[in-house]
Parts: sequence; C-alpha cells; structure tokens
Amino acid sequence: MSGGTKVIDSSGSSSVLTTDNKEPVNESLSERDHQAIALFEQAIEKEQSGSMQDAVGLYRQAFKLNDRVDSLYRTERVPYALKKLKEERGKNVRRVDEDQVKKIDVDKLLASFIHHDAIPYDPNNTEDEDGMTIKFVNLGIEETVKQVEPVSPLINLPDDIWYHIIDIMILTTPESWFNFSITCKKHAYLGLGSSHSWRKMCNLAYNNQIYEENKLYLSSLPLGASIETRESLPIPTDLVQILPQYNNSYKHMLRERPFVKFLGCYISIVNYYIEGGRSEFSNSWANPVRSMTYYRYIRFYPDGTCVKVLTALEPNKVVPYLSKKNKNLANTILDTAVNANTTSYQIKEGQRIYHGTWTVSVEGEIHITIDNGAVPYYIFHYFYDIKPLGGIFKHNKLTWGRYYAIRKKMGPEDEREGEVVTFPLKNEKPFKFSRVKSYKLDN
Amino acid sequence: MSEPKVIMVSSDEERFKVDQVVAEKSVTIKNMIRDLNPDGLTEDFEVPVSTIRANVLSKVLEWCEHHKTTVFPDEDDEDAKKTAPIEEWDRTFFRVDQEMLYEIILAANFLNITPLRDSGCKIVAEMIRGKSPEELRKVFNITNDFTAEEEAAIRRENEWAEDR
Repeated sequence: MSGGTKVIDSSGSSSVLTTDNKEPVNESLSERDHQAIALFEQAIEKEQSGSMQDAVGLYRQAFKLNDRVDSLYRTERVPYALKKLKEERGKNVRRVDEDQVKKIDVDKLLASFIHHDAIPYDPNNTEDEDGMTIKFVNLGIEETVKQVEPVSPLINLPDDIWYHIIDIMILTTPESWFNFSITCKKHAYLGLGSSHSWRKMCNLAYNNQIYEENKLYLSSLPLGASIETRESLPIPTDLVQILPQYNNSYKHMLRERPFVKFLGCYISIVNYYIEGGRSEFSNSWANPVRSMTYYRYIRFYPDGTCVKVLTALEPNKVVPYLSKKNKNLANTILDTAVNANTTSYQIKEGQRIYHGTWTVSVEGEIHITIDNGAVPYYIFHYFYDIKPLGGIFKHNKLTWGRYYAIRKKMGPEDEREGEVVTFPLKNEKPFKFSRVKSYKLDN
Repeated sequence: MSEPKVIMVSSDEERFKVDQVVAEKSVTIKNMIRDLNPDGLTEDFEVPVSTIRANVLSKVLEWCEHHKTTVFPDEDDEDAKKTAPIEEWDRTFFRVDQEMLYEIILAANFLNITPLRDSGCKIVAEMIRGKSPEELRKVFNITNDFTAEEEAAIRRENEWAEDR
C-alpha cells in the first residue's frame, strides 16, 4: 500500500489490510489447487473490504477450479494461521471455556494482580496443546536440567518509571501498550489494572472533543467576555469535576462516555443491488442483478474540522490521501484520467475530499456541517450517533441519525433561502472506525 | 586558582572529579550545593552517591559531560517531551545491555536528571514497540502466567482502548 499506511481492522484482532506474509507452500497440491486457494483468499479479502461483487466473482472462479476449495483452504491455511497466532500470543491460543470467561470480573481480576511478581521463563517446563506440563527431566531422556535465567532487570524498575514508559507507548503506539500489558499478571496490573493508563487515555480523548454544548454557550456570551467563563462551561474540561459521575473510575468513564477518535478514519461500506433488463429474446425468468459498492469515509481533527469522501474506491486507495491538506484523492488517479482524455481537468466527484466542521454532544451525537459541498447552494448537515461495535469495541461505530441540507442565500432576493431538503437513509450503513498508523492529530 | 570541582564518590568508593556544571545536570546535586553553599563554591565539594556503582556513575557522567551545554525544553508540555524522538547521540549512548540500561535509569531517577531518565524510558518503549506479546515475553524472559480464560477475558474488555 502506498504511503506506508496500514489500516487495522477494528472488528477483530489486529489484522492488517495488506498481507505480505509468505506462507509455506504444500508441494503435494496441484498448480490448479494452489490457484484455487489463492483466488479463494483474494475473495475473502474483497469480502472483508466490502466489495461484494468482486468477492462473488472470485469465489465463483475458485470453485470452478476446485469445487472443494473451501475445505481445502481450511486444511491448508488454517493450521498455518493458528501456528502464527501462537507465535504471536503464546500458549493460551486455544479454545476457551466461554462460560468461565463470562464469569470473570475483569476489573477485580486485574486489581488482584497488584502484588504479583513476574515469573522467569523455565526452559524445563513446556506445555503441550492441552495445557499439560511435561517435565522432560522426569522422562529420563535428558539428564541435564537447564538453568532458569532470571527475569530482565528492567522488570524491576519502579512503578513510576513504568508509568512513564506506558505514557510514551500510549502517546506514540497504543497497540504496544496493550501488547505489553497482556504479557503477564504484573504487567497487566501496571498497564490495565491501575488507574494510570486510563486517566492518561481519558485526558487524551476528552480534552480534544469539540462539545456542541460548549460551542453554543461560548457563542452566546457577549463579545470580549472574560476567560473565567471557561470555568463555567456546561461540559467541564477538567475531568476531575465529572469523575464522580463515573464511580470515580477513569476506566469506567472511557467505557461509558462517547468520544470521537482521531488516529484513524470511519468507513461506511454500502452494497446495494440494481436490477438490469433482460436481453432481447432471453427466456430467463429473472432479471439480471448487479451489485454496487460505494464507500463513505470521514476523518476528524481535534481542531473541529473534518474531511469526508464519497467514492467507489476501496480503502487502500483512499486512506493514504484522506487529509485536510488534500482537496482530492491521489494525484496519480487524476493524471491518468487527464492523459486518457476521459475527463476535463475538473476533479471527479468520487475523488473530491470535502472539508467541514464537527461538534459532538455529551450524549455522543456528532454533527457535521459541510458548507462547500457537492452543490454550491446547499449547506449539508449530517448527524451520527457514537455506538459500540459488537458490544466490545467501544465508541467504534457511527450510526446515521439525520441527513439534510439547507439552501443558502444565492442572490439578493433569494426566496428559496432556508429551504430544507431531507435525504433518505434507506441505503446508508453505519461507519466503523479503523485505526491508521500514519495518522497524527494534525497531518 | 582553578575553579572548584565536584567530587562524586560511588558506592564502591571510586572518586569522580567533574566540573560543577557537569555535576549540576543532576538537580539533586545542584540543590545540595545551593543549600550548603549559598554563596557559591569556594573549594572542592565532595558528595557520596552510595547507591550508584562506579561503572554506572561513569556512564551517567559521560552523558552529563556531553550535555553540559544542552538546553532542554521547558517542563510545560509533558506529552510533547514524551513523543519527541530520541537524539542520535543518546541512542548510541544507550547501546548497553538490559542490566546497564536499568541501572542508568535508576541512577538518573535518583540523581533527578530528567532528560536522561526520559531518554532511557524511550529506549525501553522502543524495545517494546512492534513486538507481539510472545516476543516481549522472550525479551523480558518472563512466563505467561494467565490461564487461557483469564487472558481471553482481559483481551475482550481492554483491547478496544488502543483505538483513539
């Protein structure tokens, strides 16, 4: 992907959109089977990025080459994927007892780790698939007992120093904060159990929100009102003032209080079908159906601005260019269009980046206003609600609330000024947040 | 008459004679000198640092010597300091094993040399960055002491927070 941009799929584990992992090749399979699996994989990728029509086409080709490509894919690829996951996550990659997982009070569990010490790795203890411990020394195969090396001295840095390191991780690469915290009980306490990380994250999240209520309040003040009015804002900027509403827990606040995210973008994928006509003399019963895919992209900035794109282009062609510094998507796309004499120099609709402003209410309703939209005579208003995705990924989904436009004053006696046009939301789909590693707060 | 020096004595009794400006990179030492010599130093000032070994103290003083004229940015914006890249010289300076890295950070903390402590913390953060949990366990030589169910539950309730 160009621009070094990586989109992390927020709906699952941190799978990255581009895959360049070389998998081992099974020599016993025919060329045709390899091809079938490759097509099947491409189809899955297309399906995940929402291009249903492409996905269906690829699935069809794959099954044509081998009608059992689905089970072939599972026996060929899944064990490798599992092995890879095990290399990344360790011994606990196995089926878990769901009932037991649900019974765990995670906050209590994390709090109980407060006095845990890290345990050094013991090369004499290895665990097999079922979690059973085999001691090789007892089998009499090897006489020597391998020496247990102590844990890294860095583990024993004072907690204050670790909190400083955790701050650096949260600020620069949040996934490293989590990966560190999930290594052992001691680190889980430092990174997730104590309130330190959560206070840091609350400050980073909420201090960058543009609250509708505060904007209204400030605009209602007389000109030149004193700075002290900041103290009496409807939504206080000092989080300590509102902490009691959240059981005095920053973690609880982060979970419950909606916020707009900046280090990524929100993507809505819309698939819909249009019915075509039958060709002449066709004796088919049904009309052919064509599936169409388009995408909506939104990226927010903490300065109250945002950018928006409506296009048929897939995320990897849009995400690298989605910035308030750009007025359109890749210049390369434009150049080819111009060279091919297909369009005038005007930017195509699907490549325009619209610039707008946003606010969010304390309940989590986002209001986007676009003054300079697709047509000159309208101001567009979009309303979305911040919701969790799948119950787990908090504040990662935007659902549609309302979408309308208000007519601007276009001439000295424009009688149509103020006319409201409401747009239907029938086809629209919710947005999902995807983190983009290259996105900063202002680039 | 040459200017009075500061003599720092390590836990293993080694004596390090340095310029006052070098020693005063440590806020702890700076305050000590101010408190005991409000009118400025007139003779060599000896200070025991009994928690720091000679090989670590010599490393720390090497850093202080190099940075004796460096002006570090104000304390105001903590987040900007934490996200600023590591200076190239510091990066080379920290090409040491984990034991030494640990000792330098502790010494910087004890002597209150904030920029040195911050650089060390960034080096640790960089060691962690881009590694999977299992790779990190190898780096720190630690055992995964969660049950599979505990790990799954913790993941489910906390992993989302890395998105912001």
